[in-house]
Parts: sequence; structure tokens; C-alpha cells
Amino acid sequence: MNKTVNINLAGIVFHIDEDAFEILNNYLNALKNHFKNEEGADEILKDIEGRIAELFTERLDKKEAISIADVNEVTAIMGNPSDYDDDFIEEKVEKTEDLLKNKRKRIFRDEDERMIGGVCSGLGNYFDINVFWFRIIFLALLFTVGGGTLIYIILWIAIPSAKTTAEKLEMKGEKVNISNIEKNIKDELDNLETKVKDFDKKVTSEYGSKAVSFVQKITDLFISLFKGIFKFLGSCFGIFAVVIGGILLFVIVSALLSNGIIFLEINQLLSYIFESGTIPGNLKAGLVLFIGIPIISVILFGLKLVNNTTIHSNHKIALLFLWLASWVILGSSGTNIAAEFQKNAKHSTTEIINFQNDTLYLSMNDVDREFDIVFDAKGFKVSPFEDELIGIGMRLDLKESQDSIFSLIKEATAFGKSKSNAKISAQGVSFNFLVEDDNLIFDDFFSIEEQKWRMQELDLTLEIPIGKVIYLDHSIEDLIYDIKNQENMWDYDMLGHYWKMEKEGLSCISCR
Amino acid sequence: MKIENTKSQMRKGILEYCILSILKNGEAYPSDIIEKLKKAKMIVVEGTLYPLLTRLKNAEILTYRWEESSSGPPRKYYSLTVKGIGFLTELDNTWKDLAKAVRLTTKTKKDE
Repeated sequence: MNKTVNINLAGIVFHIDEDAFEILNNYLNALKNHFKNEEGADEILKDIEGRIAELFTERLDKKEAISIADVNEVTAIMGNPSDYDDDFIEEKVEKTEDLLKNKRKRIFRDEDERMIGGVCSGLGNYFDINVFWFRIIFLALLFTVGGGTLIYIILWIAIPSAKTTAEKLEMKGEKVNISNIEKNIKDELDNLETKVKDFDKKVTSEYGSKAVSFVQKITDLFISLFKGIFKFLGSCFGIFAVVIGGILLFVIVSALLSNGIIFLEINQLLSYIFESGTIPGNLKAGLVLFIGIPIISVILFGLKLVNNTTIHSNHKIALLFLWLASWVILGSSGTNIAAEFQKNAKHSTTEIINFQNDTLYLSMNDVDREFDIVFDAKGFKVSPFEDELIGIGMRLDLKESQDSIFSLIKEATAFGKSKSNAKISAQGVSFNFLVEDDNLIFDDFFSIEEQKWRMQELDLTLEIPIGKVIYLDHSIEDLIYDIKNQENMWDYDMLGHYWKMEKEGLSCISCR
Repeated sequence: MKIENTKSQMRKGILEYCILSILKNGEAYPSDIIEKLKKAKMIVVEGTLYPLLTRLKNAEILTYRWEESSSGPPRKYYSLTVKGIGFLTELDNTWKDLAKAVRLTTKTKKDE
């Protein structure tokens, strides 16, 4: 149902839909503006109105009211003021430009010049830059990073197309640059000032004589004051939101879609979790939506504040729906990941250390590794190092050997979808050491064959025959863990001392 | 210098000549004129014509009379004034001269 209004065009009365009337009115006003410096402007307008009336009459054969479609058809037949420039009034062109200068510029999609959605041509108009450059940029973005496509689509949704002549005028209005934005903000502040001054006058003139509801006036002032401040802050915030949001969105989306450099480390780390070795597409899409949609909403809100752009409620619903969908995607991905850590299994191997002398010096091959990022579970860390997934944080215990040989027990733990998967992962853990003269030198890491993080842990136990002596070098500070000894000393205090294995346990022979 | 300007300058003069030529055969109302001009691709949108007609009328080259219409508001029927007829004759001659000049200057060897 549409509300209609009555208008009189060239002496004929028409019923016209209210929205159609708005468009027609804008169009006629634009024409009036266009011809205002022309001799006989009134006559020209009357002639044009007469013609429009004639065209409307033709269209009212089977119906009663003029619709938007009729108005659009008729204005298309009559043409825009800008079309008139082409043919004639080129001496007036300058003046038209002056006219445009007074209009605040708004961004619209220019569907007259469009390739796809008119986004680029709209941007071209807005920034007064040849549309060619925007097309090149978007084309380049399309081929290099997917983020460009998304941004195009968002802009397509967010920016309305210039439909009415007034909008087309606004679209090509004043150039947008910092000083304009400044001017707009200033205008708004001036506006505010005038309001305050007006109020002053009102009060002085009315207060004494009428004693009108003073409270009412104060309330009015505050309302308009707050409105003004809100509008001013809104503009600032809007610009900020659009710019920051745009940058953020671009960075995040391109990074996620292209395995970009920015999130290389996280990407790499995550890829060690998945069976395939890469982050699955649906998880990426889920992440893009999950992070992207709130940012898009901020951008849209910013555009609304700056540009009065209204967003169709269908689009809002679609955004909300997509965002909820991203929850579902992330949820199912999370479940899949969690499934990989369902069961755990241990795998144990014993290696005999070929050493006959009395005193064994324990040390660690201390490589100064810098890890950018690590998986950290219960002190066992797994990290990519020089493109290889390695484990650190092994725990070394020292115990009494049942026979007369040194041996090292390596017990690996890992998780998996099933017991057998976990077992395979545990078997993939290997650890090396080196015996050199009287030295036993441990590696500072364990290697992971399958290059997947399954919460691998490695417990080491060195079995020492009774009567043998070991020396604990300071380099194994991070390695030893809760070693029992007769002196009841803390791990750290045991370093730098000689310890002899006796029946009762380790005994410090250099402590006193 | 803009190419667009040159083009519109050319069209501007010729369009006036075309309108006057259409009216040489008798009076017409704007829709008639528009139809002919549209066929000839001289104009695209109708709005273009009205300011031009008004300007020609103000220059006393055209005049008009009102006639009631069965479908809509009364129509203006335009016709040439005496001054207009003289102006059109001048334009005819100018056009012939110009056409000749253009023909001569743009002639290529192949045409000779």
C-alpha cells in the first residue's frame, strides 16, 4: 500500500505515490537550479512540466496513480540537467560547477558507468580520481589476495546507487578531501553555535513577556546541543570507523585467505594441528566470517554516520545469518580438533649407554634457540624451529640401575583420535644423546617424525649402577626434574656437584 | 582544449539549423520535433529541446500558438516568424558553404 499525494502539473491533477513524488520533486528542483540563471527559466520549466504531464497522461490509461517506475521512465526521457550541458549551455558550465560546490558530496555507486556494480566509478566520482585507477586496484586485489573481492562486495552492499537526479548531483558534488571534511565538521559546529545564540535571543525576548515554560526551552536547548555534539562526534567516529575497519578487514581477510605473511607464525603453528597439514578451507572461511562480520558492521555503521547510507534490512539479516553460520563452522572445526586429542598412549624404549669408567659427566648440548611461538601443554613445549616441528621440555630423572650398566629409558606420551593413533604418534618421538670420553651430552630437543602436534611429552630416566658417580653440569638445569637424593636437595642445588649412586639412593660426594 | 567542447559547439549550431528546417514545412509541437530529432540522433533526451525553443522564441525567430489537446495539457505549436524564415535562408547558405568547405578539406587522394 502506498500513500499518494495530489499534484498539479500544467493545470492537470495527478495522484502520485508519495515516494514517486519525492523523486519528481527532486528532479524538478534540480532543473530549477540548473536553469536559474537562464533567461525565461520559468517558461522552460513550464514547458517541461507540460511535457511531463503529457507523458503521465499517456501512462494513466489503465491505472490511477503515478508510480516510481513512471517517474523514472519520464525523467529518463526528459534527461538530466547534466545531459543538457553536453549539448548547449557550455558557457554556463562554470556556473553549474559553482552550484555543485555548494552541495555536500556523498558517495553513490554510479550505475551509469558501471562495469559490475558501479563501485569503482562511484569511488572515482567521490575522490575525483579517474575510475581506471580504482578498477586496476580492485583487479590487482582480485588476483593477488581474495580480500579485495570481499571489500568490493561490501562496498556494493553498503553504497547505494545514485538513482535520482539530486543524488547524481550529490555524487558529483564537491571534491572530498581533508579540508572539506574539516569544513563539514566546522559547519556542524557553527550550526550548534547558532542554535545556542538563537536560544539566547529567545530567552531574552520571551522570558520576561510570556514567561513561557522555561524548563521546556532548557530541555530543547539541551536536546539540540546533544544532538549537535552527537552528530559531530558521530562524523568523527564514522570516519575513524570506516578507515580503521577497512584496513583491519583488508589485512585480516587477505592474511587468512592467502596464508599471508602477517599471520605466518600462527598459520604455520595451526597447520601442525591438522591432519592435512594445512588449515582447512571451511575453518578459514569460518574465521573470516567470524572476525570479518563484526568489522563490516562497524564499517557500515561508520558509513551511516558519515554518509547517511542506509543499509537494507535484508542485508542486515544476511550478515547476522552469516555470522551465526560462522559460529557453527568454528564449532564443528573445534570438535574435529578436539577429536584429535581424545585418547593418549605411551611408548617406551630403553637404550644402553656404553660406558665403563667411574664418573659420568652429564651435560646438555645447549643450543640457544629462539622460539617465536610454541604449543605449551603442562610444560612440554612443541614448536616449529627452522621449519621443523620439535619438542622441548623433556624431564630427566635419575634412578638406580638393577644391573651394572648405564641405560636411558625414554617414555613418550602422545594423543590421538584413537589409542592406536596415539601410539603411532608416541612412537614417532625420538631423542638423541652423545657419549664422548666421560661425557654424556643430551640433545636439548626431541624430534617428532610425523610433524603433527599431538601433545607429545617425553620422560627420560637415566639408570645408574650402584657405585658409579655422576656429575651434574649446570647446562642440564632445565632438564632434570624432581630427582630424589639422600640429601633431600632441590634440583637446582644439585647442579655442579658429584653424586654417587648408593643402595639408599644418590649421595653428594662434593657437597661438604 | 576539450574535444567535448568542440563537439558540442558543432552540434549546437547544427541542432538549431535542424529545428528550423523541421519547422520550414509547417508548424509543429515539441513532441513532433523531438521525434524527428531523435530519429536523426541529434538529441537523446527531450529536456534538451525546451530551453532551446524558448531561446529561439525570445530571439523572435520562432513564435507559437496554444492548441487544446485531447490527451493532456494544451500544446504549444511552434512556427517560424518572418525573421526566422530569413534566418533559415541564411543558415541554408552557410551550411552549403560549410559542407563544401568540409568536403574540400577532408577529401583524400583516393576520392579524386
